[in-house]
Amino acid sequence: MAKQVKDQSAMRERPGLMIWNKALPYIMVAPAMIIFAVFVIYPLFYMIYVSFFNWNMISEMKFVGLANYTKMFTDKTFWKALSNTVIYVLMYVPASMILGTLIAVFIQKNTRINKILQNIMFLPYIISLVSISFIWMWMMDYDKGLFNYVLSLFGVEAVNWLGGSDTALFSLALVNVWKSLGYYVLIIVAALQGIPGYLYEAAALDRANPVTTFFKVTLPMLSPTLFYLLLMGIIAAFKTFDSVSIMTSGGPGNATDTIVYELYKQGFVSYRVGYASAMGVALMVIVGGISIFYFAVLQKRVHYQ
Amino acid sequence: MDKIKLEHVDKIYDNGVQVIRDLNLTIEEGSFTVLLGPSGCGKSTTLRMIAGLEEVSGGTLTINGKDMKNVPPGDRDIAMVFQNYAIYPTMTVRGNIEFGLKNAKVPKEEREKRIREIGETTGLTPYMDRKPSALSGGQRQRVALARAMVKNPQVFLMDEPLSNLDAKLRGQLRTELIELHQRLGATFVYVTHDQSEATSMGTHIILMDEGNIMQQGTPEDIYLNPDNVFTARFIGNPPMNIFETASMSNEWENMPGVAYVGCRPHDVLFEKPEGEAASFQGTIMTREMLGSEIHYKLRTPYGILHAKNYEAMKHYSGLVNVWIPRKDLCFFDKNKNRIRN
Repeated sequence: MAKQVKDQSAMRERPGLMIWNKALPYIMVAPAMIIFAVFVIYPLFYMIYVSFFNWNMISEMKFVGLANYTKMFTDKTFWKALSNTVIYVLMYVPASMILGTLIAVFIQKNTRINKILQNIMFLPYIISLVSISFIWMWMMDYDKGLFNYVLSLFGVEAVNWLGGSDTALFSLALVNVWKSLGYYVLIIVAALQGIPGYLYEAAALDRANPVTTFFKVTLPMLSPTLFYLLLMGIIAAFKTFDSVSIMTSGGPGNATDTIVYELYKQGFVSYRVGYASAMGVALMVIVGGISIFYFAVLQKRVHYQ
Repeated sequence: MDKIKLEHVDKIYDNGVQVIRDLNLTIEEGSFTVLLGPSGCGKSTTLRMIAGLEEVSGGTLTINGKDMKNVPPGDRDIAMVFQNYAIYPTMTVRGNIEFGLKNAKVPKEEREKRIREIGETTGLTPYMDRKPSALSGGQRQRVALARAMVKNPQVFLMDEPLSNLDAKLRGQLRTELIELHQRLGATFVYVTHDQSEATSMGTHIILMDEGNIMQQGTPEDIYLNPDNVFTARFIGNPPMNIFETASMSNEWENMPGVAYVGCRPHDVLFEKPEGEAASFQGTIMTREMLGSEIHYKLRTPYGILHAKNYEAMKHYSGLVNVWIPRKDLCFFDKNKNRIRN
């Protein structure tokens, strides 16, 4: 009370102080906002702007209106890249979520062996995707790779992991699921450990078997975490680029050409910056649309406390 | 008839700590048995062993004469109400109550009938479709109770269910639980550290300390006839006054083995009574006016004496004489066990 009176009298004497107090929050937030504006907002609007032009970064930008978009919608390569990406998302996301949850449930108890397992599982996540991509590329080599060697020991035919058009996308999903599984497991374990033990005791007294307990008690309590992971997983999967670029270069043919890889080719290899920007806008609309749909539909099924 | 029986039961935790040693306990059918004691005395552990939530390390636990050794909690025909309610936050009130019935494959019509009845009994009917986060503490506790009652169990286990409620609600629910017990006729096993809760609700009290039973009996037995100093000091508010006889020079010097003497505060009289009485001199320290009772604290040469007086208009102060009738004195030996003459 005394401080308020003191502040008010101080503010009457020095009007500059009142303005300073009002402006202070904005000043504190400014640095982060400036960086956000410069590196996110500006490029985003610039990309939308450029998508209406043809530009090869050297000569003048030429206004073409919606030409890039009509070209994109009639481009077989674009649709192939989009369908590849969707198939990849449908492989990567369910596998990560289901495997992540199951493993987390098994290693959530606070024992020493579980702690070791959790740490081991997390290692791939912190190693660079570039390094992992190279190593898996060698292991997946058709003639000299480790995987086909092991298969041959069991008399199983060699798999053309990265060279076969029906297996390449799967192989990429395999690598990425392996890499990020530790992250999913860790986050879900933390969420599991936040579920109070007495709920499980009440469920035991309510004659719930392990399966019922998992679906009626554990999963609902996990829903905020799973909601977050699912959305992040979908968005990340839509943006797959690194492993494609290193392991398959979109091949064989265009079997593993993803949206972002195609965008990269158009923009940085063929220097069709306007066209690439149109693809960028398309990706933004797709992912944005999925996010909006996601929140609208799933929000009510999530239980927050 | 023995509903629940513990024979030579031990409980040792994983880290090697033994909290209960050779415990022998019987809970009679239809009783409202209270496990009473300070924190850490083993009452909750005992309850949880009866529920099947803790393993019995040694000895036998039987319910209805049947050994519960490998029987899971859900198959013991018991229901439990937890201190923090333990209701499922992601389910509605209806869902919470229904969960156990669904798992027991009770047919839909029977389920709906039971839920309707329980809703009326507990007053939860208007809240059936609410989630726990939209309920008050008392309502949540009612849900926990409803969930237990709807199973029609033979035994109700309750682990300090009223501790998290405010005083007024506690009093209200105390009465409801007593009425519930009388109406259902089931066996209630109730854990609490609050001795007034125990004596007001229980038909049989088992007082525990550090894993051992200090005394058991009806609330009257325990209050009027304590077997040891621990019981005398635990029951009653204010607790019994206990003094060491070593520093006293009174007639019980001749009593063999006496080490402690005690009396209840309401037996301390400010006017000399008829018949044999011990007398003390003391200085009044405080006077607390509590409506029908007045609590006095007196400083005596042997320690602080608590006295309960019912004369609201009298104000005693300064140096006074007090008397305690001989028949109201309790004597204890050096092991703090009661000597009865």
